Amino acid sequence: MTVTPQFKGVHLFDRLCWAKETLDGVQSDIRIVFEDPNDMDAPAKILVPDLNWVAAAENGGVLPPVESYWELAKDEAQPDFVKHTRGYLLHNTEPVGPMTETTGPYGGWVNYLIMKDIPQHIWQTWNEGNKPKMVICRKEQLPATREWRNAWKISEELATDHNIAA
Amino acid sequence: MAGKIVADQIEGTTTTETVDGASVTIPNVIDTKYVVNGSSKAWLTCVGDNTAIDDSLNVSSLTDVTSATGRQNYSTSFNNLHYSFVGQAESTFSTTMVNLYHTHADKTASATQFFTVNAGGGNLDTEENCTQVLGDLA
Repeated sequence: MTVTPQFKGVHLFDRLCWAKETLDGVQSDIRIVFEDPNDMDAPAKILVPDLNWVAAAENGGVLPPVESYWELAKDEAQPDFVKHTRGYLLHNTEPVGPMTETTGPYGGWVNYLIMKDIPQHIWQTWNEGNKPKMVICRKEQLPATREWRNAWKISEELATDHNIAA
Repeated sequence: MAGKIVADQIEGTTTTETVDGASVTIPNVIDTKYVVNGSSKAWLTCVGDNTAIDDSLNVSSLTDVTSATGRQNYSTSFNNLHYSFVGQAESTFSTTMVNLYHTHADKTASATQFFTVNAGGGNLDTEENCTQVLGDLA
């Protein structure tokens, strides 16, 4: 593991540039399949982790607390939003320590990424209802071809228990 | 870090050219703030069906939304919605011109949704998608 400089107070973009230059990318085969209950006619979406982001997450000391993104999202959701004024939440908060897929802060970087890049109304209630709204799987578990891509849905046969998406 | 250059301006050798018979001095100096502000703040190269990322900067993930639709999520959010998003789709095997575009409705400070279409406007997964984003960061 590469020793990360003390990055609190350093602009997040500069940290990412450091990570890109210093760390080897980590291609993950993790995929997060999710459906939006507010748009049930839409096909399932699939989140693909970025290789450089995963490298930064696993090395630690680069990414801000995920709560910083939530605060910025709240600001942007205001009807009179013009520009962000609290970017310091990304740059001046204590960076998150090393994570694996399933260990470390937030229970691992998969959880962190879900809470960052998937809408809250989906992951907060992923196991409510007749079937899960979200499933964590490996790339190989997805259909091998893109045939009928616009009709892909999470299987009705999946139960909403924690063993499915853990 | 090996070292750094601290400078407010970059200046080259001033040149003189003849334009319409008149001698004109060509300025050759630029403030470094324009170089920094004018550089790409995010870029992405991905498989054309948006199922895998080849390489990137300032991207945390890519969402395969549906056929011919992807959404790139940024690690560092942009300051506002007026950042400049440009993209290009590869058409090596598509046997048609392909285009990559985005819409205002699907653009936030933290993500941009984009679409790939053929010359007739029909949705089309391509061979490779490339995007670059310029703008002010939060």
